[in-house]
Amino acid sequence: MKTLPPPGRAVGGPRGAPVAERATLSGRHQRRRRSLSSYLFVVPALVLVVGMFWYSIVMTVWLSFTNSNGLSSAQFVGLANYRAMLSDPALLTNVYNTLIWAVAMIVLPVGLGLVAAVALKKRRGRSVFQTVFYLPYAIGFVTTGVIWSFLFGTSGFSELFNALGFRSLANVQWLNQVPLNTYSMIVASTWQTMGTDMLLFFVGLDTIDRQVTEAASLDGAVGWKMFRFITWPSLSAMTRVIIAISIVNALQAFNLIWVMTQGGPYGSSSTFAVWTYQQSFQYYKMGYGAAIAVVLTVFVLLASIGYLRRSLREVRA
Amino acid sequence: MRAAKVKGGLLYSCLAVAALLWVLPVWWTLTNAIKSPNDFFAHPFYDVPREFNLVSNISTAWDSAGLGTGFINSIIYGVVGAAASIVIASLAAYAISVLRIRGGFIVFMAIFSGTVFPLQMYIVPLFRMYNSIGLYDSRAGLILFYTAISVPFCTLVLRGFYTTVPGELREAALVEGAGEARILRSVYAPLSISAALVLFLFQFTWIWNDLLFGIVLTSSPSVRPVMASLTSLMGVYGGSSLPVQLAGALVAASPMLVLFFGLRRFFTEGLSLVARRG
Repeated sequence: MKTLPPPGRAVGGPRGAPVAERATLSGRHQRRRRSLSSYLFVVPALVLVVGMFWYSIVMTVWLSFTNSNGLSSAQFVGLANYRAMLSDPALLTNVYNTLIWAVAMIVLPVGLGLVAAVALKKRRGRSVFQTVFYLPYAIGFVTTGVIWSFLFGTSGFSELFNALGFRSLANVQWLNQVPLNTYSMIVASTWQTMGTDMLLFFVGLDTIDRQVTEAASLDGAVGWKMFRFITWPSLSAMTRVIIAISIVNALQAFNLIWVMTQGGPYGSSSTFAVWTYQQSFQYYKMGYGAAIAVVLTVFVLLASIGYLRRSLREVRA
Repeated sequence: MRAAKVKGGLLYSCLAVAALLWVLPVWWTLTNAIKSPNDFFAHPFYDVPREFNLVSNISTAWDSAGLGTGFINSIIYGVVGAAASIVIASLAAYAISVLRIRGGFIVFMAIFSGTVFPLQMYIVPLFRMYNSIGLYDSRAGLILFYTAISVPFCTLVLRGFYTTVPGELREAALVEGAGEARILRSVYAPLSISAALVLFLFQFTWIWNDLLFGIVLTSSPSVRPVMASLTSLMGVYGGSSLPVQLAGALVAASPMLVLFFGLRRFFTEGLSLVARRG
């Protein structure tokens, strides 16, 4: 089953014959020179990615076994950082919050995006709704954070609840109380990402064969039945992709949390992504920060292993 | 029939409520960015503005916390980073999928999977590296980083795109004596202009919205990208007044909003390329 059209085709462009084999030119010498010079084409990309990112990955793993505290040279301390993490009271909060983010980001934006996509499909006014729901994508996480910090702050919703007579709601400090601070940020994040998921579901819906839906509706499949037996199964590939992307993004969510609470108060709304940054750049415990990053990576790779295997197969094909 | 109509009406009402929930934060941002600080403190936020103070709020935001500088910086980072990464990626994609260099798939995987790890894996070593080679807190350093982080995805997309270009075009050009660089520039590049445009938009958006690397790799307001400036405008420890903050948010979002409404089709297409980062 195909998950998505190959990128080149999605954009639209010339299609047709597969690439021809390398044009035959006479002379072994010439060919060798040409193939050498064709390697030059990949040098800039390779140097940048290997020099910056692969280097960083290896370095982070190495640093996680050291007591690096900034820029001075680091000493090997074995598993000390990982052992310290196990006895760090912050661990539980961070694991808990990170998991909540992952689960909520699957259930809320993906679920609402699916509902919106199915509801808007083939309906008048789709483009208006689409624009409204997708707009926050352009606004970005940081600006979203600024806007919702204002709304969840004392001169935001509290005033509205006060005016409506909900005194107890008006006194809630949305970004300062546990676990409301995490939930509030999840609301903001849902606002930002739902439209994107909806659009991805539109892409999935467009690939469903018209004839199948027509035949099914002739057989009396309408409403829920149509969704349950035709739409949902046909969307399963796309749903898996969206869920995989959402989990991976949720696990490393940083920008929004950093703007709204900085993981506070007292680390109560921190996640692994925020924790890494804080240990590394506020307390300069870079070895410890690196160890947290490594654990986060293990989570992300475990969560995305199915998706990665699938996309690898597609890339290879 | 009537049941269907009722159902349809119910559906539209639900959608309308949802749309309202999505629009209201934007509306309140706009109205409160217009208010003067006095107006804002004297009346609840959901009131409409009594005076038009937007220009003054924007200029205050622009001047404080280096938001204006950040804005210009980020335009540079976004344009140069996205453009440079597309050029670099198109070279690599050409060698991999058209020239079919030996070991091309391994090279491709080395490039592509360099950024599949969580971003947190890169921050500490890059910070240390930038400090030791003098790139920390410099525009050149950020441009280099933003270019590099955009290369893998551009390579993935362009590699897929180039395989759809008929090989005869290249053969004809070879017969006419054109070199590979020339063919890439005058045959493949013009054909992939729409793909490149979508990529440009996609990468520019990512660079524009980045905060993490902006605060990890820089410290002075003259170098910081726009989102880092916006964050310091907020200041957890007492920042500017809310109308100024919201005006700043508008400023920070404005290029994306202009692009979004001007090039909506490309945004949607960029999305179907899948992969969101951030």
